[in-house]
Amino acid sequence: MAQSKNEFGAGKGSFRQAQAWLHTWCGLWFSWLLYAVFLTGTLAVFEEPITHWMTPEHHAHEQAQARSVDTAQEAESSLSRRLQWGLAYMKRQHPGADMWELWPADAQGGGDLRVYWFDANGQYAAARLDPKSGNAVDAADAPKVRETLGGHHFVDFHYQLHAGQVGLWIVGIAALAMLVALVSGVITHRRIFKDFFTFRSHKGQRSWLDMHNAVAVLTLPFQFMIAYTGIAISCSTFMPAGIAAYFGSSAEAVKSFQVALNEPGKPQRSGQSMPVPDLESFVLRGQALIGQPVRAVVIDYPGDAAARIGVYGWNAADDLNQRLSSTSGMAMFSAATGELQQLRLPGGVDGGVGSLTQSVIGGLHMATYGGLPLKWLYFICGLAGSAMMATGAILFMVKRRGKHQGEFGSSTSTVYRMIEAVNVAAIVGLGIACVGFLWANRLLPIELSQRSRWELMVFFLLWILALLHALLRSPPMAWRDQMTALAVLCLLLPVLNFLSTGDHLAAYLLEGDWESAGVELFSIAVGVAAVAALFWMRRPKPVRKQMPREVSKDLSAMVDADSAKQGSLS
Amino acid sequence: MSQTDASHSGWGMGARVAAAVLGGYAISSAWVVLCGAMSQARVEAIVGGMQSSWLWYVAAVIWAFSPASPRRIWFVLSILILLMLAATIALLYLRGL
Repeated sequence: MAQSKNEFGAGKGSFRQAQAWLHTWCGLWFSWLLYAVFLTGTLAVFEEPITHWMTPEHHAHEQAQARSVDTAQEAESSLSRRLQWGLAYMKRQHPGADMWELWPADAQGGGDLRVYWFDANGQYAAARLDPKSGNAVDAADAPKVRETLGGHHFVDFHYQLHAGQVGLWIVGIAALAMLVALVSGVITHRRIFKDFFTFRSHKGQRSWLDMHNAVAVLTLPFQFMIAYTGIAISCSTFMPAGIAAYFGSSAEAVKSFQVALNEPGKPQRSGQSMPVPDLESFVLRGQALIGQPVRAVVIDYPGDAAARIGVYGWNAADDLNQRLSSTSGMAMFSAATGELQQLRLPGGVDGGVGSLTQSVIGGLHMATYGGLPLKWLYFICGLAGSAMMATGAILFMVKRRGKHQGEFGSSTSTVYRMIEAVNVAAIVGLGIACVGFLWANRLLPIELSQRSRWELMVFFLLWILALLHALLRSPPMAWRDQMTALAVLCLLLPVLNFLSTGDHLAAYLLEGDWESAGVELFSIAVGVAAVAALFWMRRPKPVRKQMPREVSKDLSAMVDADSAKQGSLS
Repeated sequence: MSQTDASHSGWGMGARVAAAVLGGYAISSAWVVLCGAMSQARVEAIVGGMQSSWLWYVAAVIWAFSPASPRRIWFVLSILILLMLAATIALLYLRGL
């Protein structure tokens, strides 16, 4: 076995050598998944612009609304009418629900009128009411728009892989592995500060290592923060022992823990009936108390004498920029007496320090503070994190192309071949899948049933195809083919958009539609980078000094046609 | 390389992985339970415990793959977990739950 010779293995050699082993293997096995989580998470920073680009039918509507915002105000109904309509709808349609929630208007008093409630199964349900008449809007009457997950696809994928709880656990385990890889990487790295300023280009393996170190060290605090907050957001799912020990493990028990954490003092149903009073006076008092326009009115136990009426505010954008905790203001009243039971100012939480910390952890992870500049900072750091995983995975193989290490016994070269293929599919293939998702948004027919599922299917299908292709093609050719595909798809995305919707980049820029323009400009930037990578792969290879290496039995296995071929990425 | 050596190192590897994954999870969980007993504001304390439990987990994984022997790693982890649980019971008893 090769490990025994160089004292390299689990718990072998010095502490630092043992950590280098841990960093290599923990890093390798999780790098692909973490890269996928990071890249999609980075795109998720701009969830809204992506959704905007993916719903072109809304553009005209939004523009018309923006132009007529002043005139529309008078035509639309007052806040008190909207509240009455919402309440009347709920009384008529959902008298037995545990909770009613009215979203009467946007921060300017216009916009949609929406209602939500807990249905018989305890699930959140929603309806939209016409703000001019108060009647429910039938979904079928709405203008035909393409059904799409939009940018939310990237949000969902990056934390639960579209696989619900199972996916959440998988991503959680990967995030823990990332923390381990970060810590062991820092321990391994002797001259962390010196290497910070070192970049040796055109040196093959050395250059990959320098790049891996540079992106990791530069953004290390961000990488620690994002991995930690990512786990901590869902900590009550991942670490249920404390809740189970003191509250029990049933769904009821977990709910009572959440209530105790976030809504201490929530009353029980009294059993005596009492109609829900008119909401306007509550809303006006609530708005004055929290200093924000009303966003939502929540009625707990409607129809019961113990009912509570909570008035929640709209956060103003520049207000949010300065707050790590992104909660809005809230005033809670007793429906029976009108007495103020609880007041939360914007940024506060209803619980104590623990619940405030959770709110800040969420804010830190999702970049709810700091506005657009911070989103860009997160975006760049996220890309650096993705680059850290990608260069790490490539480095693993580059190291082993020249020097077979026989970690997997007689099947080592086969395993190397697999790792090389997975590298291609995970790194470039995912890019193809992401931009392919945008292509599917434009190419799939609008009236297709379950259209958003088909878009998702295209995403996963392209990714699987990329893996199959990488397994069948020799590694250098696989890198080239897939990089070419990525370049073509990215560079032609604006053309596709023009052909399918008639919108184009120049028009977006002229109209000041920065969201759509941003999506296409970034796509072009990725395309250009892919072309640059292609040129770089085709460059003449520098002559390298052959390292004297031990002739081992395993070396003969290296004369495998694929793995012995000079990799295009060395 | 003899067969016994290979199987021995395979056993050692399995013991390390188990210490890292299961032992790390167990000690993090024990920590959360202990935190719940530490303060009257139980809910807050549990949340604080859940937020900090990752330090234990990461430390356990790092240590499980350090040059210490698997036997020692398991021994120390078990002792720590038992101590945490004993402290939990003692605290609950002292405070009369």
